[in-house]
Amino acid sequence: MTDRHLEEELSAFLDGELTLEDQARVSQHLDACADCRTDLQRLEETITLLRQLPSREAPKHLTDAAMRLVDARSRRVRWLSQLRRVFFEPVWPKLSLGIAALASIALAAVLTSQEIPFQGSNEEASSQAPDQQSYSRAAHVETNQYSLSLPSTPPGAAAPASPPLAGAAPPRSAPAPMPNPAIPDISGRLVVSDLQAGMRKMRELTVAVGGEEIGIVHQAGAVVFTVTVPESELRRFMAGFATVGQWQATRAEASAWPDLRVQIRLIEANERAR
Amino acid sequence: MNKAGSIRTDDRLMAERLRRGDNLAWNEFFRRYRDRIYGLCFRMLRNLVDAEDAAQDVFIRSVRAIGTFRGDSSLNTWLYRIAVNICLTRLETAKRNGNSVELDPELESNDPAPDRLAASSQLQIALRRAFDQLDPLFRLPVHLRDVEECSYEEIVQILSIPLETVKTRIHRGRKLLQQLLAEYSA
Repeated sequence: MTDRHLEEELSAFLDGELTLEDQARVSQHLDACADCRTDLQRLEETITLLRQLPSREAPKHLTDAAMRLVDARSRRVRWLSQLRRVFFEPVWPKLSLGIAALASIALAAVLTSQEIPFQGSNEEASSQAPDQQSYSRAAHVETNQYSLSLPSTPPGAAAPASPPLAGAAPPRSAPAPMPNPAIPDISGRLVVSDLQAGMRKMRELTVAVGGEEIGIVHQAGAVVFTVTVPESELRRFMAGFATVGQWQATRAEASAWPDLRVQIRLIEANERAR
Repeated sequence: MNKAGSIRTDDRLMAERLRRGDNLAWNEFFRRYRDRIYGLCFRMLRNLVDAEDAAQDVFIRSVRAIGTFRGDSSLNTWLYRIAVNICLTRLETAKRNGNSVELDPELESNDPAPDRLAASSQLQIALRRAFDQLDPLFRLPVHLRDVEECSYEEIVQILSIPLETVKTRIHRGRKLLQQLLAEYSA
């Protein structure tokens, strides 16, 4: 018989939650102590009884509201994806082409004004072709490799008149990327005179708009404060920043979710001046 | 890979699908946890209406917060933790407002038919009463361990209390139940 009776070790022993060493010690004690063996048996009976407690069947409609929220979000994400495809995706290639074309024209103009006589011969123009070709290639790189034809490039001298590069076309059929939950929808710096007071005000503001604090990271002279805020309250939330400090946004993106993720880096004014 | 590891992987895959707004995954998730979360809320709040309200809140909160699930714990633990926090907030609010959320265990016999049938044995009625008489400090860890079959480590994460406290509360809760049940059977 050992010095004392077992207490919570008995439950942990039955649950298999002891270390091997403790398990051996408890087993050894049980071999020698009839009282603890009786205790263990009663405990085992109680646990067996507890496991007979019938589980409660939840009402069928219990998750209906949550499922409606899932549906609403899915619809919203699909709608935004379509919107993005219809309005934005075709615009970027066009814009890129336009910018590249303008850049090429500008370059060509600079080159012609500096090196090529205004009314040069074909041979002279032809002699410039390699340079223009290299610029043309640079333009290819800068514009996501869309095929370009420079207006001043003589036929046959420019980059090979190949069709647009394979794989260079915009992925129109690819689904729009889903929002990454790790990236805030809105982020920025908030310069405050006192970090502690600033944090307190931000917390009050978050609660006032029904938001939720989801992360806080303390750094030297700064605090990164991340919250989710209902989209409907975003305007009120951000208007409140003026009462806390000086706000400077670094990122603001449309989100597909009703709750927006806002990351605020609070910086103490004197820290910023340092 | 060990069991815990594969569960984590399953949870991560499930969480990824949930984050993408996959309706099938959400259906599966709700089906898997509906009864368990409802049971946990009832165990904490001891009132069917409050338990239903709280469980609905838990699932809505899970949809809103799935983006914050990092996979450090299992989905199980993550969801139970949401449930415990929601129930504790409700209990706090009720206490502050002076409202009683206690339900006389006798009223439990007004449960829907399947439950009433299941609870028809005297033993089960005695069990429920005994459970309801337990201090919430002990009731919750014992429920998580003996009904939900959570590990001690999971209970540590769900309740945010140290392992030693979990051990003590589970053991003391069981001992109290043992006494209460002895009284009923006498």
